[in-house]
Amino acid sequence: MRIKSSPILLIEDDSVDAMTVRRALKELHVANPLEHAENGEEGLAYLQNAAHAPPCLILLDLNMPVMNGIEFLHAIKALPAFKRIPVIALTTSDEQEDKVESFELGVAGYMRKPVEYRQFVEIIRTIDAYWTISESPL
Amino acid sequence: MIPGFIVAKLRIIRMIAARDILNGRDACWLMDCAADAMLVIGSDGRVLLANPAAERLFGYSLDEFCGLSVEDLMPRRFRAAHGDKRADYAGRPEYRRMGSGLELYGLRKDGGEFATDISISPVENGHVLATIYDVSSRKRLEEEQKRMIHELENVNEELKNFAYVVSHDLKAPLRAIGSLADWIAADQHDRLDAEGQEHLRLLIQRVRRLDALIDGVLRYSRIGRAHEAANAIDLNELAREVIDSLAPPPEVTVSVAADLPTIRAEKTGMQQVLQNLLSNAIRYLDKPEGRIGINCAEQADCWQFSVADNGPGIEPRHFERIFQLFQTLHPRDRVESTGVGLSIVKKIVEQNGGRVWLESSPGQGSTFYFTVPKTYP
Repeated sequence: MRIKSSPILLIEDDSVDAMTVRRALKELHVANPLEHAENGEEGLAYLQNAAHAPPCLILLDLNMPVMNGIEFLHAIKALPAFKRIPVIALTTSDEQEDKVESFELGVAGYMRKPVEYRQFVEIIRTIDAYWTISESPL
Repeated sequence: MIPGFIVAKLRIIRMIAARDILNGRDACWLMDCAADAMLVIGSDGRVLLANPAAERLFGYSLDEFCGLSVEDLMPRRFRAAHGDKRADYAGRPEYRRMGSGLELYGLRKDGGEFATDISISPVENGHVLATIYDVSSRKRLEEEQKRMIHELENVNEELKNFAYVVSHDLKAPLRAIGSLADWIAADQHDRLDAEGQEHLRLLIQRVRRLDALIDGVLRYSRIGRAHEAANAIDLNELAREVIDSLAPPPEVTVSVAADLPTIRAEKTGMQQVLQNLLSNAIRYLDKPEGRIGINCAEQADCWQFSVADNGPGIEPRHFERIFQLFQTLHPRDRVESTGVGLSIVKKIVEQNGGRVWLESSPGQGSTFYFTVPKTYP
């Protein structure tokens, strides 16, 4: 990550998937702290809490209870303070509809969670590499 | 158009013939015999005559009928509008069949309603002969049929989505099993003996297999869910693309017939068909030198394509089985395969209005054929 101090916000309901992201980030020596919210609503609550540092990147699952990823995207893109934070969809869904909708809502990427951990690490490595090179709007 | 005087003459001939054939029996006799309810209605709407079938249908006796008006024989909600219709008909009396496209109902003496079709013919002096057909059983059948079609559509829709939803939800826990097994293998490596490590390796391999199976179900169920527009596809180009993407090993030669046609079909589908047939041909090759040929024969109404290989061949008794979902002819540990490829080929080809089959001589090789209609369905 280009910005090393800001946290990465992971919005994910599956605890093992969350462990996977955490483990992969650690393995890749990504220094940014990882904040974890279990659904879109918790994610919004995290963002809107002034005591929390704003994240430099949001990793967003799509299929979640209470408020799913697409609903979260609708919500965050309507909030001027947060709409520029890059969001990467990290999901099982291979539905064309989900992909189209996500990009229409301005995601910075759409990654399918692989079943193999090593591939997962490669995905996180790529995300980290990209956001180390890419300028950020924040 | 037959001139009027001829029509009149024909009617007279028919009347004379009818009188002779019926031995002078009159209209009353005919009404008594008729299986359908008949009423003669006066110009004021009163019932003048009713036949026995009308008694049976409405439940009134002949005497009772004579005190009724035609409006008494229909449900209340139709009565107000009927007077106008009657007046309208009196202005232009002609044979007419009511009910087509209209929902008509009769009212029995006991208050029960029944669905009906009615035909009316003018008699004389503004009198009208009405024949009332009880169509309630037909209506019931139609309703039943409509309900069943609706139900079928629902079930079908549900089935289509079911495979998708289920396989989708199976993925998340499977991924967790895969990750956890991977971490145990990595983190506990020193504490596991050789057998434990082997078990974990098998566990992870099975996770991959199940993952591939679920992907197969997803791919299979997606066919027909999302429709793509049919495009003109240059098969020469498509075949080249597919061969490039499969990158066959150097010992395998894939030859493509010159001048394959340009067809109209869904591109992704055709690509998948070729890809699955070719990748099977490559995967199962058992000779030091593989030869695969793509050909096309033009038929009257379709193109017949073939993919021929010099692989192990397939015994005729397996010809049906191999097109079924999840059917493979080799243990999965020997050739990693989901058994979805040919089912997908079959589904795509048939949805495009074509056919798929094979010829094979065990030991020599197989040729898979599929057709694509020249006019896109």
